[in-house]
Amino acid sequence: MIRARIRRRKGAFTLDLELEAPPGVTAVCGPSGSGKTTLLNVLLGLEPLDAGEVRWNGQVLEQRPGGIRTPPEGRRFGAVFQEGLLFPHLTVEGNVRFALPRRPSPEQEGRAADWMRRLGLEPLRRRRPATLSGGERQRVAIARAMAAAPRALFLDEPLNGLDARLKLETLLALRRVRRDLEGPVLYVTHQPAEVLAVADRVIRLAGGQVAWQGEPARILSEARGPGSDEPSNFLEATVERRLGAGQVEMAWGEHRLHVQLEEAAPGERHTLVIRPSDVILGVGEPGRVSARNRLRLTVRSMVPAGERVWVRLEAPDPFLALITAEAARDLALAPGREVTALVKSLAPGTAGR
Amino acid sequence: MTFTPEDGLALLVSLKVAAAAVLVDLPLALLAAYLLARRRFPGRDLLDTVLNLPLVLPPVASGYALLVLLAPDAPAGRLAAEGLGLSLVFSLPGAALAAAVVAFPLMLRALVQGFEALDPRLSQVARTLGAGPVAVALRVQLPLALPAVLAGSLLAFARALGEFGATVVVAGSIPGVTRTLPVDLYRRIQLGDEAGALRLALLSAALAFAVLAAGRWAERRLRRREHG
Repeated sequence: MIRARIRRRKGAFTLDLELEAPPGVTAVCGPSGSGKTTLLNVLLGLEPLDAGEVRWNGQVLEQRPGGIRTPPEGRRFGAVFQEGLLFPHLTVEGNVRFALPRRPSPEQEGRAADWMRRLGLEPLRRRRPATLSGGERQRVAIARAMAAAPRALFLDEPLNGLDARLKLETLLALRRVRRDLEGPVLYVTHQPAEVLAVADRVIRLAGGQVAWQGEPARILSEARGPGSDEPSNFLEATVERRLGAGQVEMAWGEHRLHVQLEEAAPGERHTLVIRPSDVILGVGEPGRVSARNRLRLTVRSMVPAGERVWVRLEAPDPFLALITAEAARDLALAPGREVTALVKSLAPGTAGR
Repeated sequence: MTFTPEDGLALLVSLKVAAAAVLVDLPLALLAAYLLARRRFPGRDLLDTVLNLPLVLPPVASGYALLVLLAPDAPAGRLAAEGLGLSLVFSLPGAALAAAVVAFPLMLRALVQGFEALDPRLSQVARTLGAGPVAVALRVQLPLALPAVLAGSLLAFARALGEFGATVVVAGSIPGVTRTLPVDLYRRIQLGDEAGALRLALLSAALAFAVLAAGRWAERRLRRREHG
């Protein structure tokens, strides 16, 4: 757990806040110039504090006044920055292995190799960063940060500049990292879609201070602003049995899903990606419909977003539907109400495993 | 036109002197360039000016300053003679030192530019991956500055090959020891040996051409390595 009291002046701007980052993903969002990147730099030890302190599990990493200052290499905080920032003179493998000590133990070797494999980098291992796509670079940056076995991970807008497909691919890679990291993750972004995809809680900065903090769903009201990506639902499901015709039945909590998936073996886990606007909600038995997946779910809460409404449903993973405000009124949707969610076709996200 | 053994000897001395000059300059220029490009400290501008002085000073003046400093009865000269058993005047080490002083600013400039062009964020990433300042310098900054190191070394080598003024003052014109191509060329012009002067001038031109071509080739290879 990271605890920090931070005061850092930069010209007319002052970052002045208290922060607590427990295990799990804390999203840090806010408009540009609100101090997000400065916050990360200070916690990483790349910029000094003017006053305050940074603690890791109670141990002081930096204190002013007091004069204690652990350099970045002594903090064991990993970081993934915008554009990846790979070392251009090293291959993909060289970049990942940069995180290892001069004489790595078999365990450290194994960890680097493992992350290369899990993020699909093995075919690229001899390539130079200049020849990689943006998404590939970000995956290398993530593997490199994880190979150092960081106690905490910091991500500074890691999806910036990627197209929609690469964003999804990288998000899936990040969700895999989240499952394995026991320490805190600080994720800087201004995209509500990313907050909803990876975060357990949100801290919103404005003018160098904490405007509010709370659960990710609080960001939903901003999730349809101009220039923001549409959020996706990520369903972690397990293959139960094959149905033929490229279809499998998958378990998602107590629910059963029909999924388009070739060559899947029972027990395999996949991340299914569904856009909230592709979820149809009904009340009562919907009668005979073509959609194969009908899920009986309970409305948890509703967040208006202009002409439409986000409907949050109780489910094994956070699950959103986006419907028109008119439809929500017609169905008399309200928290606690039972609905049937229809999902036409389900397919796993790319780079899943 | 046939080259004589004497021509070859001058060429050999020139190559030795220039190579030694680069070897002397390289560690000092790396250190100075790192300080000038990466650190802010009092007296930085003064250091920058002093190190660049040989670029604008007449080489003969630089040579004379060296001669005064390094003469066997001067403190630095005595130290070298007693400590290393080296005579720094009228000797090959003296000629190399004279060339090194004159070539130093050229190497320094290339290196400072190289270090300044480095993305400081790459060094920061390296720190978050557990590398201390020394490891960052050796594993990130130096390899990335390699094209600049190469360019600076070649520039200094080329300048040292052409060095005349300081060399002749500090090291004189001892055949096979300090008589470099330009020194020998000047001597032959003085003697009226026009054919010999022409041969040495052509030899100098060929050498300069080879150095520049080699530099271009090596730099292209380095860049290709970096940019796929």
